[in-house]
Amino acid sequence: MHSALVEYETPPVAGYGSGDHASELAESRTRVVEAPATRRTYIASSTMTTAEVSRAGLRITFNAEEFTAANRAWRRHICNLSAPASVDALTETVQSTVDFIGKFGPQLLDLSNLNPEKVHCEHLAALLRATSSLKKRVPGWSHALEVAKVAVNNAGQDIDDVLFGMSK
Amino acid sequence: MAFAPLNEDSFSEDQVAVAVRDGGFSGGHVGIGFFGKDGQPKVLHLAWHHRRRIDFIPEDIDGDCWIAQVLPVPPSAGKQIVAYLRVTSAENMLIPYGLDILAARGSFGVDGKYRPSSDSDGLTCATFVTEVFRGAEVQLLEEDTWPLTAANVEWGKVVHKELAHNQADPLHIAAVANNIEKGLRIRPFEVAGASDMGPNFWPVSFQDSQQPADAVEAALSGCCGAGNVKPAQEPSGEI
Repeated sequence: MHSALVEYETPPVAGYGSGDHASELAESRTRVVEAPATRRTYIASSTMTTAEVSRAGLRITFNAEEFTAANRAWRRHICNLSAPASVDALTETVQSTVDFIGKFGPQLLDLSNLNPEKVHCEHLAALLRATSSLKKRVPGWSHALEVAKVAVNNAGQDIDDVLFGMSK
Repeated sequence: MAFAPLNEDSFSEDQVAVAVRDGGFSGGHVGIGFFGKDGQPKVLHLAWHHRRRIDFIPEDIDGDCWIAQVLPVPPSAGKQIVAYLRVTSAENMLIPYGLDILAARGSFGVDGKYRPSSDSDGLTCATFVTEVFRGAEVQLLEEDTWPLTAANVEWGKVVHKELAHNQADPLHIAAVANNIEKGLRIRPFEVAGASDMGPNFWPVSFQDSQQPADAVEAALSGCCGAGNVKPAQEPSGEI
């Protein structure tokens, strides 16, 4: 396969260091491409032109702008300690998470860099609950559960309530 | 807490409820109550083969005598589960009616779409409820403890016959036929009874679910009267 491609099946942060993956993707104008014959997906680097992608028999599945917008959507309430914890707000978090996974797959829902001091525990719990069946495919899911435990304590709430069914 | 007649005040916007009514055959019929994004209370249930329904309360359940009780989960978890239901129930889907309670585990994707294992022949109203809850990290039953019984085999034969009568896909009918002799069935009253026991007892074994199931059946009979059985043109709310 083309040397400017990075395997997408591995956690994508591996190829980009440990910084904020979303912003790095946006800055590098990276695209995720797919080989239709094999259905395997790759991250095409910024040095690879659209023409080169086409010549390699690949198709662009999404661009960085779409990714960044969707990535912001699921983080909107999770990364806002003042976010309302109403059912309506929690529904927004779950909906945007499901939409993200539907469009980009669980591998790009990167939960490995969440800061327990900056996350809203109930929104993160709602995301974790909704994605629990994909916990092995979402990068950082188990780490995020530990982050959520700290965040629950920080918020003075009860782990057995907020993380009911997930804390053990 | 006790099961009581279902109405728009049976649960709040932050709560999930388990709702039960009589079905076309013994064992009752079970569904999930919650408030949708539109602010309306509704019951989500699998009425029969390819008939997943979302009935509004009270208009769509007029004439059906349901009883319900709030699922006893902690408050924050309750809100999260409602959020999960609001998102995942939006998907319109055809769910086959089937017998294999073990292969049914993990039937729903993260988006709420029905994605059964290749071994699964479908869901009943009871396994529909347990699988929806499983998707939200609520495991009500210890399915491995459910026993093979002769009565379940007979029930499986009736289901098979009804599916054939309803002209279901021949491949599906054949898959159901292959599972009849497994003799497994989770009765809707067992799901409701287990839910009533609370988190400290979940997942509930077959043995432990029997007395609570009987209590739910008695509550339904007390609230709705015995023999409140729907006609079988929709092979009934639950078989």
